[in-house]
Amino acid sequence: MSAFPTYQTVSVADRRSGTALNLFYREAGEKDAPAILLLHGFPTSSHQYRGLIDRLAGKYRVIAPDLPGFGFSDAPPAKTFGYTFDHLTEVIEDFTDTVGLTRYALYVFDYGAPVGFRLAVSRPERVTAVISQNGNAYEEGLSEGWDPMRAYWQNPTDENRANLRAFLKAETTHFQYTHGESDTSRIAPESYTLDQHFLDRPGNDEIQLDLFGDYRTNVATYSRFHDYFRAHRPPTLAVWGKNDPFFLPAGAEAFRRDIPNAEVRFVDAGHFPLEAHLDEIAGIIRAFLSRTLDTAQGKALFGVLNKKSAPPEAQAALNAMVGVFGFVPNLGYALGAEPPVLSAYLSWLQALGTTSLDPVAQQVAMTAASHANAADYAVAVHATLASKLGASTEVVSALRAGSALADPKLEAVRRFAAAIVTKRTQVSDSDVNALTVAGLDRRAAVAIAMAVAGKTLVNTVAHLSQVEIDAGFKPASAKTEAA
Amino acid sequence: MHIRMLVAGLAMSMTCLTAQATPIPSTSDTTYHWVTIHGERIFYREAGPKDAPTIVLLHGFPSSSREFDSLIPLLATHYHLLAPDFLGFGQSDAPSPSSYTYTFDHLANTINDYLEQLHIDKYTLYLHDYGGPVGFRIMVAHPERVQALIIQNANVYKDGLGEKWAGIAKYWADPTAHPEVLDTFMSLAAAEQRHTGGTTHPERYNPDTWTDESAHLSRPGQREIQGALLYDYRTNVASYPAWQAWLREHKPPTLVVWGRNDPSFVAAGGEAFRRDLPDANIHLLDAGHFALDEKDDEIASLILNFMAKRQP
Repeated sequence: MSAFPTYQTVSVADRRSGTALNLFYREAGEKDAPAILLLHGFPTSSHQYRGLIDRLAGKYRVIAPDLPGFGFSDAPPAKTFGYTFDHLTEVIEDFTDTVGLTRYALYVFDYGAPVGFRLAVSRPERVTAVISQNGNAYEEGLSEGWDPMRAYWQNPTDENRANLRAFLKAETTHFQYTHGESDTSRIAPESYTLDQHFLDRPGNDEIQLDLFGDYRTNVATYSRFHDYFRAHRPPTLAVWGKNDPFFLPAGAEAFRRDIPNAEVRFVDAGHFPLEAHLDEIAGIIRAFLSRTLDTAQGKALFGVLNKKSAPPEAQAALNAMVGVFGFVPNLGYALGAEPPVLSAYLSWLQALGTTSLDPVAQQVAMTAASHANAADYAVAVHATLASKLGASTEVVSALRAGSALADPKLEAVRRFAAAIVTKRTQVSDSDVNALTVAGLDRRAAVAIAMAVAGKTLVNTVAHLSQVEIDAGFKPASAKTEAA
Repeated sequence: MHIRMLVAGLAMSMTCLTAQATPIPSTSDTTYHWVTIHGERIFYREAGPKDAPTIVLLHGFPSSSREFDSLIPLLATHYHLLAPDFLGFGQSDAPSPSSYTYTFDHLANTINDYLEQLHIDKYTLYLHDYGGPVGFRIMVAHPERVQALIIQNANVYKDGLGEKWAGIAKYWADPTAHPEVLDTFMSLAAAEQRHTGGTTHPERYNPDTWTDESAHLSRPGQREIQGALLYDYRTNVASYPAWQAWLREHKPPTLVVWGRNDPSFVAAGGEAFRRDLPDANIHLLDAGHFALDEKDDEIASLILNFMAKRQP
């Protein structure tokens, strides 16, 4: 690990009472790396980010505080503190000042959304990007699961308040983690166990009931969030568990109304997709961040990429690419910055084409390696090539999504290529077994290693130069793929 | 340029292939299961390819398989990992002492039955704290099944017993006269100290661990359960000479990774393995009783090296 995750507490003066609040937070990554602020939801704490922090800390400074009333942060009594989302936002704003967070990507989930979006409205210049993981900001995102809350908002009687106690029960907490998950064996029981421990603390019920009541102010504030989205157009990723019983997929799609370029991705998961789908979501987030944050220097180094920018020595190789693709892919111009490298790459492609690995399997190996490198340019290219080579629509869409392939041989190729990347070349016996069981031999192993090696070159240059995905490789053309 | 072959490749058509939409978890992902053994539910974590050599991880007091949370993915790239919670601990059932006798003999029998029910008949044992006396009993009963030992602050030498054991010895002599020993043993402060005691980096310690443990110890029935096991711990000390003799005779390949700042099981307890196992691979780490809290990466690489040298 490049940097240890740490578990610390800082003291922040509450603006309203002047008293000191101890706020717990998890932090990892280099201090000067681009920052990501992770804001948790109900009924959990920064604990929900324990896995994601590990997966992002290699490149980013990741900070996840516990909101007052949650996790290891102070939980002053409901009567004296005044638990509202406005108040939580003030505290978190002061927290960011205390830990020196002046620019950050904002990751919001559940309660983290109304807090984080208020923070963005207050200090829009600090937000470098928005990642909403089931972090709602639109009325159409609220399911019928909110009806008991709505009843309390409209009619704040003792009876309506008492009805909300069902949300504090252990069964409900368990439901929040398991509903909408097809394989609950992937959910660590310490998640709901620790959450319930915090909910069961004396007085925590009143804190949570007050926040349920105040949630109506979030709905009332949505239009201000939308104004912020339209005015600032932050780079935005909405990555949602589509089976969430509280926040509907329509809530994710709705971001596009105000931020037309928002990327919207769905995972076959429930409310807490980071439990059972951590690697899938981390992959989507890494790819989003790799083209959003910390890219200015690479972009500046390469500048505008086109026929004019390419040195004359690269022209022959670029012309050859037209023969293959029908146009010069943007990456050709980037590689062509060093003409011998572009020529070598094309010879390399040609050599790979003559290996024992079948042509679709070659594309599978290159897509899998690129996925593991969070390199969507090459994923788009090789999914398109697989389609041109006759792979079915299902295979092509699985390649684009990074999901498993039904064909055992192709799946073995996919896994082996990914293992080379994720294990930094040190594949294990069981990886080799999986390959041989699928009928692939050492020739295939060497060819897959070659595919991965080539993608290390290409993915690096694509990331540095931040090449745009050419229209010809975009998923929009998927309709005609394999037609 | 000779691109013709590539173009020819692109033009080639393939038979229709299909794909399923859901991603298959990578083999390093941990899964969480319950299995019923003699009517009681045993919880366990599992990870890694099932065709790889198995490492069974046995936890300490007052923790659970959760203490292996960060180690498991680091080993699962190469090994099959199983980490059960003992009855009375973690997410396993905690039957009342009137229906389940809490002794180390009984915990060991139950874990052995669990391994047999899962058809795990060859394995390396990773033992920590209470996992030591449980694992040693299994090893002595089924020596042919144990391929190697990984010992992490799991004591089998009197040299390893820290000062606090003098207090516990009073409890062994007369448990009813010394309830304060059990009070201290089960306190939140002690739970935290077991993790952070001796470290120079308290900020690296995740409070989830002792918060979980303390919440567990606060449950109804835990005082009786843990009191019974603490009392039975004296049978472990009595078994030390027999277990040492067994080690001398069988000489299992052994890796010792020992947090040398552990006040319960002091560093001498790690060193002592050399007496009976001259070839043991012994590493005293700058860590505490729960050495994995701070040294998971280092311990994982020591294990991977140790295991790799043992593979054919």
